[in-house]
Amino acid sequence: MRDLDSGDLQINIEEKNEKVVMKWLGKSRDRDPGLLLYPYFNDVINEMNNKELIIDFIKLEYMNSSTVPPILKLFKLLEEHNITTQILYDSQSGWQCASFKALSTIADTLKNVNIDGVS
Amino acid sequence: MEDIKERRRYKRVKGDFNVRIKIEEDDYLKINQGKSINVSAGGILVQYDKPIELGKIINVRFLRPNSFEFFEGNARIVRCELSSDNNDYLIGIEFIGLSNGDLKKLDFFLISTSDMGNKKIKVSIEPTWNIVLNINDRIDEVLPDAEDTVVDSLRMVSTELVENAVKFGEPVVGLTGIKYELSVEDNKIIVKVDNGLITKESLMQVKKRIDKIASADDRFKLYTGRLSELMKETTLSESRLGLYRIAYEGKCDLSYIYKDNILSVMAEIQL
Repeated sequence: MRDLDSGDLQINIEEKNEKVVMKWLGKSRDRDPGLLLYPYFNDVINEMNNKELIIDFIKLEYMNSSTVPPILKLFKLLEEHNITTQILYDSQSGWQCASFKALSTIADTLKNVNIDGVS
Repeated sequence: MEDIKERRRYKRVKGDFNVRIKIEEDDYLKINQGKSINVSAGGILVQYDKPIELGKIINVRFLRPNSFEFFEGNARIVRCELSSDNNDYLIGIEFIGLSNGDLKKLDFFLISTSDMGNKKIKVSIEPTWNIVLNINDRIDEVLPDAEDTVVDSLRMVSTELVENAVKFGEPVVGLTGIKYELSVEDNKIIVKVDNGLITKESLMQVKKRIDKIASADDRFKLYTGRLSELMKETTLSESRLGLYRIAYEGKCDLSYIYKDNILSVMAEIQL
Protein backbone atom coordinates (compact mmCIF):
# COMPACT_ATOMS: atom_id res chain seq x y z
CA MET A 1 0.00 0.00 0.00
CA ARG A 2 1.30 3.41 -0.89
CA ASP A 3 1.55 6.59 1.19
CA LEU A 4 0.10 9.89 0.05
CA ASP A 5 2.12 13.10 0.03
CA SER A 6 0.38 16.19 -1.29
CA GLY A 7 2.70 18.78 0.26
CA ASP A 8 0.71 20.06 3.23
CA LEU A 9 -0.93 16.72 3.85
CA GLN A 10 0.75 13.36 4.25
CA ILE A 11 -0.98 10.06 4.82
CA ASN A 12 1.28 7.26 5.91
CA ILE A 13 0.32 3.62 5.83
CA GLU A 14 1.72 1.07 8.27
CA GLU A 15 0.77 -2.58 8.13
CA LYS A 16 0.91 -4.42 11.45
CA ASN A 17 -0.15 -8.06 11.53
CA GLU A 18 -3.83 -8.07 10.69
CA LYS A 19 -4.22 -4.30 10.96
CA VAL A 20 -3.52 -1.41 8.66
CA VAL A 21 -2.81 1.98 10.27
CA MET A 22 -3.49 5.07 8.14
CA LYS A 23 -1.87 8.13 9.80
CA TRP A 24 -2.86 11.63 8.72
CA LEU A 25 -0.18 14.30 9.24
CA GLY A 26 0.01 18.03 8.47
CA LYS A 27 -2.86 20.09 7.10
CA SER A 28 -5.61 19.20 4.67
CA ARG A 29 -6.51 22.51 3.06
CA ASP A 30 -6.61 21.96 -0.67
CA ARG A 31 -9.40 23.61 -2.62
CA ASP A 32 -10.63 20.20 -3.71
CA PRO A 33 -8.96 17.52 -1.59
CA GLY A 34 -11.23 14.88 -3.10
CA LEU A 35 -9.25 14.99 -6.34
CA LEU A 36 -6.38 13.26 -4.54
CA LEU A 37 -8.23 11.50 -1.76
CA TYR A 38 -10.97 9.67 -3.69
CA PRO A 39 -8.61 7.62 -5.89
CA TYR A 40 -6.26 7.10 -2.96
CA PHE A 41 -9.03 5.74 -0.72
CA ASN A 42 -10.17 3.41 -3.49
CA ASP A 43 -6.65 2.02 -3.82
CA VAL A 44 -6.32 1.47 -0.07
CA ILE A 45 -9.72 -0.20 0.21
CA ASN A 46 -8.95 -2.53 -2.68
CA GLU A 47 -5.78 -3.72 -0.94
CA MET A 48 -7.21 -4.24 2.54
CA ASN A 49 -7.64 -8.03 2.20
CA ASN A 50 -9.98 -8.41 5.17
CA LYS A 51 -7.62 -6.57 7.53
CA GLU A 52 -8.86 -4.10 10.13
CA LEU A 53 -8.21 -0.43 9.55
CA ILE A 54 -7.15 2.20 12.08
CA ILE A 55 -7.35 5.78 10.83
CA ASP A 56 -5.23 8.02 13.06
CA PHE A 57 -6.04 11.73 12.84
CA ILE A 58 -4.27 12.60 16.13
CA LYS A 59 -1.37 14.43 14.47
CA LEU A 60 -3.50 16.17 11.86
CA GLU A 61 -3.09 19.90 12.45
CA TYR A 62 -6.02 21.21 10.43
CA MET A 63 -8.60 20.21 7.88
CA ASN A 64 -10.92 22.49 5.94
CA SER A 65 -14.57 21.73 5.43
CA SER A 66 -13.84 20.58 1.87
CA THR A 67 -12.05 17.59 3.41
CA VAL A 68 -15.25 16.38 5.09
CA PRO A 69 -17.02 15.01 1.97
CA PRO A 70 -14.02 12.77 1.10
CA ILE A 71 -14.00 11.47 4.71
CA LEU A 72 -17.72 10.71 4.46
CA LYS A 73 -17.08 8.98 1.15
CA LEU A 74 -14.43 6.89 2.91
CA PHE A 75 -17.00 5.95 5.57
CA LYS A 76 -19.31 4.74 2.81
CA LEU A 77 -16.57 2.70 1.16
CA LEU A 78 -15.60 1.09 4.47
CA GLU A 79 -19.20 0.18 5.13
CA GLU A 80 -19.73 -1.21 1.63
CA HIS A 81 -16.58 -3.34 1.87
CA ASN A 82 -17.33 -4.47 5.41
CA ILE A 83 -14.01 -3.23 6.77
CA THR A 84 -13.89 -2.91 10.53
CA THR A 85 -12.47 0.54 11.22
CA GLN A 86 -11.45 2.51 14.27
CA ILE A 87 -10.96 6.25 13.86
CA LEU A 88 -8.77 8.02 16.42
CA TYR A 89 -8.62 11.75 17.14
CA ASP A 90 -6.95 13.96 19.74
CA SER A 91 -9.50 14.65 22.46
CA GLN A 92 -7.30 17.50 23.77
CA SER A 93 -7.60 19.40 20.51
CA GLY A 94 -10.60 21.72 20.35
CA TRP A 95 -11.09 21.61 16.59
CA GLN A 96 -10.61 17.84 16.44
CA CYS A 97 -13.15 17.30 19.23
CA ALA A 98 -15.71 19.49 17.45
CA SER A 99 -15.14 17.93 14.02
CA PHE A 100 -15.10 14.31 15.15
CA LYS A 101 -17.94 14.68 17.60
CA ALA A 102 -20.03 15.73 14.61
CA LEU A 103 -18.67 12.92 12.44
CA SER A 104 -19.49 10.47 15.24
CA THR A 105 -23.19 11.12 14.64
CA ILE A 106 -22.69 9.66 11.16
CA ALA A 107 -20.41 6.82 12.31
CA ASP A 108 -23.03 5.84 14.91
CA THR A 109 -25.37 4.93 12.06
CA LEU A 110 -22.76 2.61 10.50
CA LYS A 111 -21.94 -0.97 11.40
CA ASN A 112 -18.20 -0.97 10.79
CA VAL A 113 -16.92 2.50 11.71
CA ASN A 114 -16.19 3.67 15.26
CA ILE A 115 -14.72 6.99 16.34
CA ASP A 116 -12.74 7.37 19.58
CA GLY A 117 -11.02 10.32 21.20
CA VAL A 118 -7.53 9.73 22.61
CA SER A 119 -5.99 11.97 25.25
CA MET B 1 -15.18 65.21 -17.07
CA GLU B 2 -15.64 61.70 -18.36
CA ASP B 3 -11.85 61.41 -18.72
CA ILE B 4 -11.33 62.36 -15.08
CA LYS B 5 -13.94 59.80 -13.98
CA GLU B 6 -12.33 57.20 -16.15
CA ARG B 7 -8.85 57.93 -14.82
CA ARG B 8 -10.11 57.78 -11.24
CA ARG B 9 -11.78 54.48 -11.90
CA TYR B 10 -8.75 52.95 -13.54
CA LYS B 11 -6.40 54.26 -10.86
CA ARG B 12 -7.80 51.63 -8.50
CA VAL B 13 -7.19 48.83 -10.93
CA LYS B 14 -3.85 47.07 -11.17
CA GLY B 15 -2.30 46.11 -14.45
CA ASP B 16 -3.36 48.29 -17.37
CA PHE B 17 -1.87 46.65 -20.40
CA ASN B 18 -2.56 45.53 -23.90
CA VAL B 19 -4.13 42.15 -24.33
CA ARG B 20 -4.41 40.48 -27.65
CA ILE B 21 -7.29 38.06 -27.85
CA LYS B 22 -7.26 35.54 -30.63
CA ILE B 23 -10.77 34.23 -31.09
CA GLU B 24 -10.38 32.48 -34.39
CA GLU B 25 -7.54 32.07 -36.85
CA ASP B 26 -6.54 35.41 -38.29
CA ASP B 27 -9.07 37.24 -36.16
CA TYR B 28 -7.16 39.35 -33.65
CA LEU B 29 -8.95 41.76 -31.36
CA LYS B 30 -6.90 44.32 -29.52
CA ILE B 31 -7.76 45.76 -26.12
CA ASN B 32 -6.39 49.28 -26.00
CA GLN B 33 -4.22 50.37 -23.13
CA GLY B 34 -6.12 52.51 -20.67
CA LYS B 35 -9.11 50.22 -20.54
CA SER B 36 -9.74 48.57 -17.22
CA ILE B 37 -7.82 45.31 -17.19
CA ASN B 38 -7.07 43.03 -14.26
CA VAL B 39 -5.03 39.91 -14.09
CA SER B 40 -4.65 37.13 -11.57
CA ALA B 41 -3.52 33.54 -11.71
CA GLY B 42 -7.16 32.67 -12.36
CA GLY B 43 -7.85 34.94 -15.29
CA ILE B 44 -8.31 38.43 -16.62
CA LEU B 45 -11.17 40.90 -16.51
CA VAL B 46 -11.20 43.22 -19.50
CA GLN B 47 -13.45 45.93 -20.81
CA TYR B 48 -14.11 45.52 -24.48
CA ASP B 49 -16.45 47.10 -26.95
CA LYS B 50 -17.96 43.86 -28.31
CA PRO B 51 -19.58 40.88 -26.59
CA ILE B 52 -17.85 37.50 -26.77
CA GLU B 53 -19.79 34.25 -26.54
CA LEU B 54 -19.73 32.53 -23.11
CA GLY B 55 -17.75 29.30 -23.00
CA LYS B 56 -15.73 30.16 -26.07
CA ILE B 57 -12.14 28.97 -25.94
CA ILE B 58 -9.73 31.66 -27.00
CA ASN B 59 -6.03 32.37 -27.07
CA VAL B 60 -4.73 35.31 -25.06
CA ARG B 61 -1.37 37.04 -25.03
CA PHE B 62 -0.13 39.85 -22.83
CA LEU B 63 2.94 41.21 -21.11
CA ARG B 64 3.17 39.86 -17.56
CA PRO B 65 2.82 42.47 -14.80
CA ASN B 66 6.17 43.88 -13.63
CA SER B 67 8.16 41.96 -16.17
CA PHE B 68 9.17 41.93 -19.79
CA GLU B 69 7.95 38.40 -20.39
CA PHE B 70 4.92 37.61 -22.47
CA PHE B 71 2.27 35.26 -21.24
CA GLU B 72 0.42 33.32 -23.87
CA GLY B 73 -2.15 30.62 -23.27
CA ASN B 74 -5.61 29.29 -23.83
CA ALA B 75 -8.55 30.65 -21.90
CA ARG B 76 -12.31 30.39 -21.65
CA ILE B 77 -14.88 33.19 -21.66
CA VAL B 78 -16.70 32.86 -18.32
CA ARG B 79 -18.45 36.20 -18.15
CA CYS B 80 -19.78 38.71 -20.63
CA GLU B 81 -22.03 41.53 -19.58
CA LEU B 82 -22.76 45.11 -20.46
CA SER B 83 -20.81 47.47 -18.22
CA SER B 84 -22.65 49.90 -15.99
CA ASP B 85 -22.18 52.79 -18.43
CA ASN B 86 -23.58 50.66 -21.30
CA ASN B 87 -20.65 51.66 -23.49
CA ASP B 88 -18.76 48.39 -23.50
CA TYR B 89 -18.67 44.87 -22.11
CA LEU B 90 -17.01 43.33 -19.08
CA ILE B 91 -15.38 40.16 -20.31
CA GLY B 92 -14.19 37.60 -17.76
CA ILE B 93 -11.52 35.29 -19.13
CA GLU B 94 -10.41 32.19 -17.20
CA PHE B 95 -7.04 30.67 -17.99
CA ILE B 96 -6.97 26.97 -18.72
CA GLY B 97 -4.10 24.54 -18.78
CA LEU B 98 -1.54 26.78 -17.12
CA SER B 99 1.69 25.20 -15.93
CA ASN B 100 2.62 25.49 -12.24
CA GLY B 101 5.38 27.89 -13.23
CA ASP B 102 2.94 30.18 -15.00
CA LEU B 103 0.52 30.02 -12.05
CA LYS B 104 3.24 31.04 -9.61
CA LYS B 105 4.32 33.93 -11.77
CA LEU B 106 0.77 35.18 -12.13
CA ASP B 107 -0.14 34.72 -8.50
CA PHE B 108 0.26 37.97 -6.63
CA PHE B 109 -1.20 40.22 -3.94
CA LEU B 110 -2.81 43.50 -4.93
CA ILE B 111 -2.50 45.24 -1.62
CA SER B 112 -1.33 43.94 1.71
CA THR B 113 -1.23 46.07 4.80
CA SER B 114 -0.92 45.13 8.40
CA ASP B 115 -1.69 47.52 11.22
CA MET B 116 -0.25 45.87 14.29
CA GLY B 117 -0.84 48.80 16.66
CA ASN B 118 -4.57 48.74 16.11
CA LYS B 119 -4.73 44.95 16.00
CA LYS B 120 -6.08 44.82 12.48
CA ILE B 121 -5.32 42.93 9.33
CA LYS B 122 -6.53 44.31 6.02
CA VAL B 123 -5.74 42.42 2.88
CA SER B 124 -7.04 42.81 -0.64
CA ILE B 125 -6.51 39.55 -2.38
CA GLU B 126 -6.48 38.34 -5.90
CA PRO B 127 -8.59 35.21 -5.60
CA THR B 128 -6.07 32.43 -5.85
CA TRP B 129 -5.88 29.46 -3.54
CA ASN B 130 -2.35 30.09 -2.25
CA ILE B 131 -3.56 33.26 -0.58
CA VAL B 132 -5.97 31.27 1.59
CA LEU B 133 -2.98 29.48 3.03
CA ASN B 134 -1.20 32.68 4.07
CA ILE B 135 -3.99 34.14 6.20
CA ASN B 136 -3.24 31.84 9.14
CA ASP B 137 0.31 33.06 9.59
CA ARG B 138 -0.81 36.67 9.79
CA ILE B 139 -3.30 35.94 12.59
CA ASP B 140 -0.35 34.86 14.75
CA GLU B 141 1.36 38.19 14.02
CA VAL B 142 -1.60 40.30 15.13
CA LEU B 143 -2.69 38.21 18.13
CA PRO B 144 0.53 36.82 19.62
CA ASP B 145 -0.93 36.59 23.14
CA ALA B 146 -4.34 35.16 22.34
CA GLU B 147 -5.40 31.80 23.76
CA ASP B 148 -4.82 28.82 21.47
CA THR B 149 -8.56 28.11 21.28
CA VAL B 150 -9.25 31.64 20.04
CA VAL B 151 -6.43 31.50 17.50
CA ASP B 152 -7.60 28.08 16.28
CA SER B 153 -11.14 29.40 15.88
CA LEU B 154 -9.94 32.48 14.04
CA ARG B 155 -7.84 30.40 11.68
CA MET B 156 -10.76 28.15 10.89
CA VAL B 157 -13.21 31.03 10.51
CA SER B 158 -10.84 33.06 8.33
CA THR B 159 -9.92 30.13 6.17
CA GLU B 160 -13.52 29.02 5.61
CA LEU B 161 -14.71 32.54 4.76
CA VAL B 162 -11.82 33.23 2.39
CA GLU B 163 -12.23 29.80 0.79
CA ASN B 164 -15.89 30.58 0.11
CA ALA B 165 -14.94 33.93 -1.37
CA VAL B 166 -12.36 32.31 -3.63
CA LYS B 167 -14.78 29.59 -4.73
CA PHE B 168 -17.88 31.66 -5.31
CA GLY B 169 -16.62 35.25 -5.70
CA GLU B 170 -16.79 36.99 -9.05
CA PRO B 171 -14.97 40.12 -10.20
CA VAL B 172 -17.28 43.14 -10.25
CA VAL B 173 -16.79 46.84 -10.82
CA GLY B 174 -15.41 48.16 -7.54
CA LEU B 175 -14.01 44.84 -6.35
CA THR B 176 -12.14 42.46 -8.60
CA GLY B 177 -10.53 40.45 -5.80
CA ILE B 178 -11.33 39.71 -2.17
CA LYS B 179 -11.08 41.94 0.89
CA TYR B 180 -10.24 40.35 4.24
CA GLU B 181 -10.41 42.31 7.47
CA LEU B 182 -9.83 41.18 11.04
CA SER B 183 -10.45 43.67 13.80
CA VAL B 184 -10.22 43.31 17.56
CA GLU B 185 -12.58 45.31 19.74
CA ASP B 186 -13.04 45.29 23.53
CA ASN B 187 -14.63 41.89 23.92
CA LYS B 188 -14.94 40.58 20.41
CA ILE B 189 -13.08 39.84 17.21
CA ILE B 190 -14.73 40.47 13.86
CA VAL B 191 -13.63 38.78 10.65
CA LYS B 192 -15.08 40.38 7.52
CA VAL B 193 -14.61 39.09 3.99
CA ASP B 194 -15.90 40.93 0.91
CA ASN B 195 -16.18 39.56 -2.59
CA GLY B 196 -18.03 40.39 -5.77
CA LEU B 197 -21.08 38.23 -6.44
CA ILE B 198 -23.46 38.31 -9.36
CA THR B 199 -24.72 34.73 -9.52
CA LYS B 200 -28.08 34.80 -7.76
CA GLU B 201 -27.94 31.13 -6.76
CA SER B 202 -24.67 31.61 -4.86
CA LEU B 203 -26.09 34.65 -3.08
CA MET B 204 -29.26 32.76 -2.15
CA GLN B 205 -27.18 29.87 -0.74
CA VAL B 206 -25.27 32.26 1.52
CA LYS B 207 -28.42 34.08 2.66
CA LYS B 208 -30.24 30.80 3.28
CA ARG B 209 -27.44 29.41 5.41
CA ILE B 210 -26.84 32.54 7.47
CA ASP B 211 -30.58 32.95 8.07
CA LYS B 212 -30.82 29.30 9.13
CA ILE B 213 -27.93 29.76 11.54
CA ALA B 214 -29.49 32.89 13.01
CA SER B 215 -32.77 31.10 13.70
CA ALA B 216 -31.29 27.74 14.78
CA ASP B 217 -31.73 26.62 18.39
CA ASP B 218 -29.04 23.98 17.99
CA ARG B 219 -26.08 24.71 15.68
CA PHE B 220 -24.62 21.26 16.23
CA LYS B 221 -27.78 19.74 14.74
CA LEU B 222 -27.57 22.12 11.80
CA TYR B 223 -24.00 21.00 11.09
CA THR B 224 -24.63 17.29 11.53
CA GLY B 225 -27.81 17.63 9.45
CA ARG B 226 -25.66 18.83 6.56
CA LEU B 227 -23.28 15.90 7.17
CA SER B 228 -26.25 13.52 6.86
CA GLU B 229 -27.27 15.19 3.59
CA LEU B 230 -23.75 14.81 2.23
CA MET B 231 -23.70 11.16 3.30
CA LYS B 232 -26.84 10.51 1.27
CA GLU B 233 -25.67 12.32 -1.85
CA THR B 234 -24.72 9.97 -4.62
CA THR B 235 -22.87 12.54 -6.70
CA LEU B 236 -19.90 14.57 -5.55
CA SER B 237 -20.75 18.14 -4.73
CA GLU B 238 -19.50 21.17 -2.83
CA SER B 239 -19.55 20.53 0.93
CA ARG B 240 -21.37 23.82 1.71
CA LEU B 241 -20.37 23.16 5.32
CA GLY B 242 -18.16 26.18 5.90
CA LEU B 243 -20.72 28.61 7.33
CA TYR B 244 -22.30 25.95 9.54
CA ARG B 245 -18.85 24.99 10.78
CA ILE B 246 -18.06 28.63 11.61
CA ALA B 247 -21.28 28.86 13.62
CA TYR B 248 -20.98 25.50 15.38
CA GLU B 249 -17.26 24.92 15.81
CA GLY B 250 -16.17 28.58 15.89
CA LYS B 251 -19.17 29.63 18.02
CA CYS B 252 -19.53 32.71 15.84
CA ASP B 253 -22.49 34.87 14.99
CA LEU B 254 -22.72 35.46 11.26
CA SER B 255 -24.22 38.31 9.30
CA TYR B 256 -24.03 39.61 5.75
CA ILE B 257 -24.52 42.75 3.69
CA TYR B 258 -25.15 42.69 -0.07
CA LYS B 259 -24.80 45.97 -1.87
CA ASP B 260 -23.70 46.97 -5.40
CA ASN B 261 -22.93 43.33 -6.28
CA ILE B 262 -20.54 43.06 -3.32
CA LEU B 263 -21.19 40.48 -0.62
CA SER B 264 -19.71 41.09 2.83
CA VAL B 265 -19.85 38.25 5.33
CA MET B 266 -19.03 39.02 8.95
CA ALA B 267 -18.21 36.51 11.67
CA GLU B 268 -18.10 37.73 15.26
CA ILE B 269 -16.25 35.85 17.99
CA GLN B 270 -16.97 36.85 21.57
CA LEU B 271 -13.88 36.89 23.81
